[in-house]
Amino acid sequence: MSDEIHDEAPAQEPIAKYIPPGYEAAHSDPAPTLEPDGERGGWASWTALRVTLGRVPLWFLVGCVPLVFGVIAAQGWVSFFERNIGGAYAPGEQLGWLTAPFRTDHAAGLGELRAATGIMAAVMTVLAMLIGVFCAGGWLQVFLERTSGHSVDRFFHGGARYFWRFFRVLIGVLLFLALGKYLIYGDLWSTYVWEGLFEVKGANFENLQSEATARRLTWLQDGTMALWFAGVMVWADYLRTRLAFLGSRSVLWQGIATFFMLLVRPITTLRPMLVLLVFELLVLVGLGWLSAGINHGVDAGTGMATVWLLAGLSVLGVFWKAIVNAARYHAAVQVVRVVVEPLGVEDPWENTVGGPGGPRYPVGQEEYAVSI
Amino acid sequence: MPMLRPSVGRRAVALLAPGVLTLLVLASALLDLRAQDPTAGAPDNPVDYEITARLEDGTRILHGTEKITWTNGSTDGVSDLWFHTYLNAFANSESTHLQGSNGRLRGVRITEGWGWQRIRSVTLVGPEGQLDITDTLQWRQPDDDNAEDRTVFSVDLPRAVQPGETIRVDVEWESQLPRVRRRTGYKDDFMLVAQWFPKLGVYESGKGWNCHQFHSTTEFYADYGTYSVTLDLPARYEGKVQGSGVKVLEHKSGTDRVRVKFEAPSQEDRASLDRTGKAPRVHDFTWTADSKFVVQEFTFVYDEWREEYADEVNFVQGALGADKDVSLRNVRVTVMVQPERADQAFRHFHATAAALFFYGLWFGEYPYDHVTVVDPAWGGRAAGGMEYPTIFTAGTELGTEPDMYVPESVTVHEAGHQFFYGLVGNNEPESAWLDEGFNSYADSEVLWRTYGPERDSTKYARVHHYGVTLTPVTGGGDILRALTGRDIPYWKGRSIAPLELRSGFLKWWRDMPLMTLSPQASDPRWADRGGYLRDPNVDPIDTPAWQYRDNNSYRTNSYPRPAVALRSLEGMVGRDTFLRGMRHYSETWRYEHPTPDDFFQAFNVGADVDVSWYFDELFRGTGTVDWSVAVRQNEVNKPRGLFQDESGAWVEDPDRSKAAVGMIDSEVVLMREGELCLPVHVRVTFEDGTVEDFLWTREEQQAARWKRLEFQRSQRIVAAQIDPDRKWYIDTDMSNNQWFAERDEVAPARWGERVFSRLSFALQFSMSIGG
Repeated sequence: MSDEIHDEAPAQEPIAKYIPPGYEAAHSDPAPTLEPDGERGGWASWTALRVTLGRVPLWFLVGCVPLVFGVIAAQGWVSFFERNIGGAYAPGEQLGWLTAPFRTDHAAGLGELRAATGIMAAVMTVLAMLIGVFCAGGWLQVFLERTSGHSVDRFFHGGARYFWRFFRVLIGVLLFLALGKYLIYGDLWSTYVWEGLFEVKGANFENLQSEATARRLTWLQDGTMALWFAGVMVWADYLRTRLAFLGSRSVLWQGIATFFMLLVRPITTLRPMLVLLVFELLVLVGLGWLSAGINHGVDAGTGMATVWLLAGLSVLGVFWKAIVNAARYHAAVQVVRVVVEPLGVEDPWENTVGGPGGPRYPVGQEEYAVSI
Repeated sequence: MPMLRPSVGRRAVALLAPGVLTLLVLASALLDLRAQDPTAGAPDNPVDYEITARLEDGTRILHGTEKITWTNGSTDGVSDLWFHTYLNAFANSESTHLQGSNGRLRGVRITEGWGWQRIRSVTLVGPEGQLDITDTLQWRQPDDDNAEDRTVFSVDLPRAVQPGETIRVDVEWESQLPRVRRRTGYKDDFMLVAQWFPKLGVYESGKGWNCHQFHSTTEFYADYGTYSVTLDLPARYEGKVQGSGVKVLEHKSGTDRVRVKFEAPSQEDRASLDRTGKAPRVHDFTWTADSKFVVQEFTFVYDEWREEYADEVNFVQGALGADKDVSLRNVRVTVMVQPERADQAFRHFHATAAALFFYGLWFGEYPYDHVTVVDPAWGGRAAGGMEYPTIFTAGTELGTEPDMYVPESVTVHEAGHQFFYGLVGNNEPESAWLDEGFNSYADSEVLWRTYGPERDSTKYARVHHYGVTLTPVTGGGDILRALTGRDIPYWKGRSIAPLELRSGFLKWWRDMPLMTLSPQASDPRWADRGGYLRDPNVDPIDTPAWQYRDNNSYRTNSYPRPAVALRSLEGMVGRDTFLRGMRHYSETWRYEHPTPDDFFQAFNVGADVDVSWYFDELFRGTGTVDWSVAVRQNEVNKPRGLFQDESGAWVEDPDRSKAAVGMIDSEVVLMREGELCLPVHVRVTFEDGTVEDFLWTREEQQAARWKRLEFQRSQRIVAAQIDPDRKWYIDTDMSNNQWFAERDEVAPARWGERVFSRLSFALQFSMSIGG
């Protein structure tokens, strides 16, 4: 991560020299202009969702990425089942669940299929993460500019423009997640939390008195990691937003600034994210409840329509996650607009007299004098 | 095979010393010369134990004395006594038991919590006085000559005990209970105290003492008799202790001790005869205590179950004959469950009652008035899933439902052992499959009838969700592991794994299980077949437990493979015939020690069939079978070309074969792979619903590996099925047993959709990591 990179030459030298390291000259991009009616707090979340939902081509495009990958990966499975269920089992016999004889007799084939799918999914995971990096830039470009059409063009422009900056953010995210894992699942936690705080002998849950305690402690540990994960994600969202909002290239500098921003303004910054998480969760649980009810009711008489319905619910779920993910950037933009000064640059006119177009003279410096 | 000691000729060399004559005279007087005629159906070597033991709090050391009254039921004179000291298996890493398990018990490397037994004295007792024979004690290693193994010892008698003669021996000993890692021991306040006293082996006529060391793959074998056990325990166990048989006394002794007395079987049961005309006896005594136990009492009421499963009762009645009384006694069931799982007490009882009902209906009544179910403490699950006479341990966890089979599966299985192991006392070390295999067969039948299919679940943060993941969300080798953040190396073998999720909540968020899991359920009977196919042809089923190739082979051949072989036998001879055979075996050998040959013979007699060839091939061979079917169908077309007429001229003859035009020529080819030749049914179904059944006989299969069925009909074949009723569970591949003209178009889409959903959500999660 570089603090010093300036890949666009400043056109106005007098201003540029005052710009702190890591910032772009203001002229290189149009000054970021917010969506109208930016709001903070819970309403900011609602506004963010409303605005994002209005960007149909964008969330459709973004949501289609995992869906297309999913379709590709599922093809191998469809072929496998067409080959092996085909006319070898009574129609409907393998619909409710794959029977024990089927699973036993095709254990080897299923194992190979799982391995192959795992490899394919891993490749897709790498691509998905990179596409995620790209999409973050796209969303921020769109949300930081005026809403005057060509949003898909601007989305791709933003994706390309911020890609390498946000790629560095991804590396930061991975490092912080690794740090969290080290802290929460490593020896430190075992020594100081399990053995020190909860007096779990040998940090071995088997030595606890009850299963309920083991479960609660598991929840504590897993929950702490989940909070850490959420914190890192929120930090990364705000970091990307700051980088785009300020036109900064310094991930390190802005990462630190973002951390302190979250620390100093926790309510302002975290509330919209929390509200969006609740929105996301509520809809997904609702869809999940519906999907699980249908899924577990499938039997030999179930037709293709039910399969399409299940797929449709999953598609809705994926789109919803894509929408909420984008809405976080909109909410972050609204918050950042309020809590971050657009350009943290000293006023180059502050200590001079004179006006634009004419001579400028420093104030308070003895060696300068005006001859009449 | 174990090196069994010769029964005759062994003499107490230690007594060949000055004064030996005096001792022999005294010994003769000590031996109780009550002659007892072994009668048909009586236990082989009746043995009664009267045990008194005190548990030291803190050290977990038991100080005990036992008075053993043993009758020589063999036809040999017996000049020594062989005992098991099972707890010594847990004394060190060099014991045969721990050597056999590579120093690990149920996945845990044993480094502490050792257990042992020390014999303080062995005394021969008679009306004339006592004779201390402790000096003659020798540690024995009949199976492997492992000098470090101390799980069997013998003492010499001053003279041979004659057939039918009864002696009394007193043993004083100490037992250090191990931290429970397998079957016995303690965890915190919980104790399952099994195999805790020096126990006599089984003397077999002409063979000597059958007293095997305690191997990692063997269980137990002992004579039937009675137990009277008095325990002196810390007072906090008052009301929280239970053992084999019934509790007859419990009272505080001072302020800090409690005395508890058990009798197994109860005096009432001992005095009565069961439905087979034999007096109920048991062959072991185990007890448990935990000051945290929640104790709940239930009663198995036969009439309630008879009403619920009237069809089954009627079927069994029909199979066994109208004159057979298939009614069962009511049984008190004590459930000792951990407080946090008290809401599962009834489920433990219900599963136990299901076993008492179905096993009793099929194999004969449970003859005792009481049974105890134990839920081991957290961290003491290694004590779970063990059977002892009239008491057994189950094993469960929080948040389960009955159709997850936890604790139902293990409860039915261990309750079922009350019949195969408890009532029919086969030699577990030498023929584990005679109880484990039979029990695996029967428990699946009970579970299926009582609970339906077992539904699989996936746990997120220790919470169950119905369904399984059909496919992984990532895989591949080192490079992909690094690229996907699951294992990124950075320095000398060290690595970070930021995206190898361990948090159950995060996995839940990634997987969205409500939308992506695939329902999965199993018929437990078919699950047995899955277990069988893990190791279908390595060893014969009928192999001593410690002589299988490895632990996998032991497990397969002791549990699922005999279950599959029995279920296939049931399919071959018919369920009613099968029931008669099994019933006859289990009643004939109740309170006795049957061998595999005894089972084969009893089954043939009871079922009135001769399936000895089946037993030979399936239980003493390693053959397998895989049938398959192929179908070809063609429409008979109008003949084309030139045909030779009677004059020898080649002419067009449109009338030739005219009758067949438009008909369908069909051919069903049956094929067999593997060595086993078993009679199997074949069903062919035509478009109009016509069904034709065939039998591909054993003889036909011995003659050829294939058979062709040919048809010429106006209707096409729509289905051809080998074993259409799915009775041959032994078939190693059933996917090729059927042919259907109609293809299932929905199922591929159905499972493809599940994979699509799962990966879509997972990839969406990955995208959100990127931004």
